Parts: sequence; C-alpha cells; structure tokens
Amino acid sequence: MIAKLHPEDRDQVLETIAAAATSQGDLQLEHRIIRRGETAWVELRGKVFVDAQQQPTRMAGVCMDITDRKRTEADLAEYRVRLEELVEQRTAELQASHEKLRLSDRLASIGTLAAGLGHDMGNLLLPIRARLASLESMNLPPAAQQDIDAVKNAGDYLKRLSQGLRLFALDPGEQREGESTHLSAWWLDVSPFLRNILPKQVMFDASIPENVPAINIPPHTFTQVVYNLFQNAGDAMRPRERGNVQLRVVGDQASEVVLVEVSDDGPGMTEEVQRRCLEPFYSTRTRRISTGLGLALVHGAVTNAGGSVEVQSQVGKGTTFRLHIPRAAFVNRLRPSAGKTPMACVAVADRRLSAYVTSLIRGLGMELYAEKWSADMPAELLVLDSVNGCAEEFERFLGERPTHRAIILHGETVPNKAKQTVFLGGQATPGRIRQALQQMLQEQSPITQEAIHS
Amino acid sequence: MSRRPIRLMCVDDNQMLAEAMERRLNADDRFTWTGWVENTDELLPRVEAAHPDIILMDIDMPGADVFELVAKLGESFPESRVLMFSAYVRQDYIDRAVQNGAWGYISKNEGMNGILGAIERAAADWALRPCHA
Repeated sequence: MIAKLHPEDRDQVLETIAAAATSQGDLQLEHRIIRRGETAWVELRGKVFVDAQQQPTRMAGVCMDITDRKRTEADLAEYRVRLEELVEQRTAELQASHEKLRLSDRLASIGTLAAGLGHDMGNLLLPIRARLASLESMNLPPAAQQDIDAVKNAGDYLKRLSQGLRLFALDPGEQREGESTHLSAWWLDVSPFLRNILPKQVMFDASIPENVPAINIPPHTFTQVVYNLFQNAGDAMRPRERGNVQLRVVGDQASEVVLVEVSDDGPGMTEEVQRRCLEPFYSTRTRRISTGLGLALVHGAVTNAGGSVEVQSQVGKGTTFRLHIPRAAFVNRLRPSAGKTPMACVAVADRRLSAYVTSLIRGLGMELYAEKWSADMPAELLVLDSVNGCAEEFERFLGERPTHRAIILHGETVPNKAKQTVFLGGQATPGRIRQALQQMLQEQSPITQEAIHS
Repeated sequence: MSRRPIRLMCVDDNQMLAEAMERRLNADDRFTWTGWVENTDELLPRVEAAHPDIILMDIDMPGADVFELVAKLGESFPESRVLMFSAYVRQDYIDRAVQNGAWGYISKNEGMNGILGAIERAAADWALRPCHA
C-alpha cells in the first residue's frame, strides 16, 4: 500500500495516519496513488481501535477510488475559471460598447447642436446684412462706411462659419441625387470652420485651381472627410511650437479623377499605424474624444464616391493623405470646337417652366440662344414644347448635325430622330427635365428614352 | 412686368429678418413692401388683400407644408409669384418647389444685392436657382 502512494503525497499520508493513531481520532484523507503506472485518487476513511490502556492497537477502514469524482471536480473548477474569464471579458466588451454608444450619442448631440447653431446663425445674419444694407443707402460719412465695411466683413466670416457648421453636421451617409462639390466655392464656405479646428500655432493654406471640375461627393460628406484629416493633423501637431497643414487640389477640365491632398509636417506615423490607420475603431489616442472612426469615415466616404485613399507618412517628417475622387457624374459633352461655350435654345411657352429650364441650362454651363429657334441657329441643344407645326424645321435642325440634341416636353415624339431627342410626354416635371438635360449633355452615345426613365 | 415698384410680401417666422427686409425694401423705390406673414393660416387672405407680385416664402414654416401652400397660392393667385427663400439649398427642395408652382429658389446665404436682384429677375420672368445647387 505504502509503495503505491504518490511520491508527492506519501509524507502527508503517513503523517496523517500517524497523527490519527496518536490522537485516536477518525481518519479521513484524500490522496493520490500510482496504479498501473497512472495516477489515481483515493479516499481513506478509518477508525483507530485502542486497548484497555487506551493504546492504539489497530486501525480499520475503507479506501475508495474517487478518481472520477476528482476529475469531475477538476473539470468543474476549470470551467468555473473559464466562465469567470469569459464574464470578465464580456463585461469589458459591454462596457466598451456602452462607452462607444455614449460617445456616439454625444457626437450625435454635438451634430444636432452644430446644425441648429449653423442654421440659427444664418437666420440672424440675414437681418444683420439687411440692416447694414439699409445703413449703406443713407450716404454716411466715410468713417461710418468703414465701420459698416468692417461689420460686413465680420458678418461674411460668420456666414461662412455657419455654412461650415451646417455642412459638418449633416449625416455623411446622406446623399441626394446629383450632389457634387465645387471645390473653390466649397473652400470659401468651410475655410473659417476648418481654421478653427487647427491649433493656433499651425499655419494652413490651400491651393485649388479655378478650373478644377466638381467632384462626385456631396459637400457635407466632403467637409467631414477634410474635417477629419485636419483634426488628425491638428492633434498630431498640438504639442509642437509650429506646423503647417496644406490642402492641395490637382485637376483640370480634362481630369476624370481629381486629386485632393491634405498634408502636414507633423510627427508622422510609424509603419504599423500607417498600415492600420484606415481601419474602423483603430485609434492611437488614449485621451480626448475618439471613436477611432475618423479615418475609417474618410476611407468609407471616398470609396463610396468611387475614389480611393492613399497614405504616405514618415516618422519625423509628416503625413500626406491623397484622396483620388472622380469628377462629378455630369460632364457637358456638348463642347463645340475652339473652346466656345455650348449654346441652348429654350422654346417653351409656359413662362415659369421656360424660366426654370433656362436657369438649369445656365447652371450647366451653357449659354442661352435668346432668339426664336430655327434649324440654322448656332445652338446645339433645343428644348421645346412640341414639334407640332414645325416638324420639318425640327428634322432639319437635327438632321444636318447629328451631334445636336433636343428635348420635347409635350406633344408628339419624333420616332426617326429618337437617338437625338428625349420626349418627356406628360412627365415634364422639373426633376425629369433636369435629369433629361444632364443625361443628354453627358452622353456621347445615342440617347434613349429608357436612359432617361431608368 | 411694368416699371412700377415690385410689390413684395415676406412669409417667414423670423421677425428680425422680416423687419430688416421691410426697412431695406422701404428705402428702395424699386420695391413696395406689402407686409410680413408670420402665421401661414393668414397667408391666403393676406395675399388676397395685398396683391403682392412676389411672395418671398421661407421653406421651413412651423406647422405647415410649404410646398402645398405654394400650390394653393398658384391656383388662387396666379398673378403672384412665389420665390422660395431658405438656408437649405437642396436640389430635391428646388425641384419640388418648382413642381408645385414656385418661380424660383433663393438661398438665404446670398448677399442683399443678390437677393434683391433675384426678386427683380423673378418679377421679369427669370426663375432662380442658387449657385452650386
């Protein structure tokens, strides 16, 4: 029996038995033995018998194999530990997601606040501008005029700030048909707002060519993209005495993709950070508000717009984000030779609809041919109510120059000229007209009715 | 349009804006101020009484579907032209406004000269859309 005792338990077993004999108490002990080369557990229960002089004479008892019970107990203990670990892990995850939710709520509240503030500022600035205009009409002395000019300048700055706030606060995922960003005009609106998110010691400048085409991303989404890049650059340079942030746009009328570059001369990123910085929830910030979503939002918004994001960074040198964004879907293909502005003629009897179409055409960069239309007029596009009574002239207008286009709002269609015309029938709503104009001007291939109604 | 001053009515819940516009327009002989409507319930009778050429209408009026109001104005007073006036420049708003009979859409972010010029052009048949809309 003693030979079978597990070497690690042997001393304790012998000591316990000896102690039981001395004390004459009951024996109860669990220990290991070696059985057929394997460890097994047993439970000893025994009783000490004594003689008349109260001297121990023998010990009797049972030895039960409790290996299975011990194994079950060990398994249970392991499960308990694992369960505790899991509970701890899940609690931490729950706390983290609660924290993110709280932060999202807070950011949503900040967004609502910013939108409301931007709107209310805009609403208050208009009466201020109107009052200033009233004052200006009073022939004030030059000194008073200077004061008015200064207030107007401050008001203009606030107007742009309010516009920037509104652009910042709109849901970046919200995209409405046909929305694009005209970079020069956009920059005028948002530059005061973006200036404010950079630390005072950081200088910034922008270079945007005048002839860069509009890009295929809504202004509010693009504002939030650039906001995040500026915020990151600003945060990186906050501890420094000075720094520079630059927004540079490269593109011209011929570009299908516009490059928007935001660069800083801050501390730069390590290769690891550079590789992971566009991942959702990845953040190097340990304090301040951070959802880890800033650059992921940049990446998501730009790829949604059909573009791509490139990061280039060097520790100690700075970081450059390059956004390659396609130009806006609308491209006026009616570009006549010698760089002339394309012309359109609107022959629509309803004065309001005519005015609307005219404004749309001007908005699309075309000039208006104001005289009565004819087959020989120097306009490439004709919008008219119907070809009733002028079918021959109409056919001549389209027939002699196959690149010419026409939109017929009402009346009959012209089947043999279907490749050059869009017939809106009873559906000449503003939206349909706008859509027809855009489709027509950007298509080089034959236009079909289905293309408009799809 | 004739050369008489353009009769203008403003529909907006912002009193400061209405008062400032009134003051500015009263100082300009191109325009005649015919009043400010704060509550859209009063709009139709006020238009009937004042016969404005141009109604400058805020798109965000409390408790009213402004687009429906534009359609009603067009049916009842076709001689008055509605210009939407809003800080929200959205293509879908512009299309809906024009669809319902508005003559144009002016951004509140325009300068005063831009706004007054737009009113004059609307009175002379030009529909208006804000830049970059």
